[in-house]
Amino acid sequence: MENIEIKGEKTEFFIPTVNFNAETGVCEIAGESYLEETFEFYQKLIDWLNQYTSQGKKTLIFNCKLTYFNTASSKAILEILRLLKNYQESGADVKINWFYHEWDDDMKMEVEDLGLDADVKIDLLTF
Amino acid sequence: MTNKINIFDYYMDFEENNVIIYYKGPFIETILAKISEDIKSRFDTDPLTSKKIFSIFIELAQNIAHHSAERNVFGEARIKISGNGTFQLSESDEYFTLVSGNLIRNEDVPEIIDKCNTVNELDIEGLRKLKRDLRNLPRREGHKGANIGLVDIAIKAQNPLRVEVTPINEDFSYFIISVDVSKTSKAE
Repeated sequence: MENIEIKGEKTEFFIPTVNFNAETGVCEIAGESYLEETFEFYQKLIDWLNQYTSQGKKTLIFNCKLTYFNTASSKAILEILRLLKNYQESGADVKINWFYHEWDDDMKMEVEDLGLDADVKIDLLTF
Repeated sequence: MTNKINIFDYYMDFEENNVIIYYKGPFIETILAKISEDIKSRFDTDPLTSKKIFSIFIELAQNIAHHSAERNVFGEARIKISGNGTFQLSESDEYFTLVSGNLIRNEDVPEIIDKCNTVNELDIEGLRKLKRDLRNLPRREGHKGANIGLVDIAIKAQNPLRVEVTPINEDFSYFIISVDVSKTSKAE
């Protein structure tokens, strides 16, 4: 299974940096997310996660370091969190870490609401 | 033509009202990215307020790009269509004020006013609930967004949305939405 490595950029839209590693199970998304085709972009990540989680009960660590994402992106991120929740319920070891800036009360609120909707534990850590 | 637009009058109006950014034209990504960067660097001493302004700008801009009834078509090889509109950021002693304006079809007026009224009737907890409810709806076929921009704007601003609709003719109206962000904003 191949890794996903996307280098983020901010020339027109804001493409996040993505590193999903199939050997270590560490999946990281960072930067800012505001895309032309939001659902297409995230579908690739969701497909990868579906493949990874269908290969037994390998550990998965999801590190979210997004400092900005628009509302369309948040809908896709919720889908990822739900997928992780299902994987966790199937008995796999899943850890979700969310990094945010201490001043960013809006991000903290957003992550709390995403955690509620996906019914999954998210550990909030400061940068 | 005698009633030419007086650029100097424009300038003085903007100066007197502390306008920081004014843009009218196509809402295409290259321009939006530049305005975003400008907003971020301008207010970097107050990161939370800066991010609120930036986030609200993006949602307002997307509304115009996707929904403005005044469309532009660019390019021949790869045609891009974007909405036309206006964005303004100004400041007073207490607030930053963001305003967007664009043409809408008259038949869309009741829905948009309804949405804004719903948002204005809710407190922060009600808005968070509405945002979650809307986000949980299935993706809409043919739509790029999540349809929660206005709710998100009210959450970030923590102030009501002001809406003004001016009929132009039997097909179109001009739609203005404005919102304040307190200079000492704190999320609850």
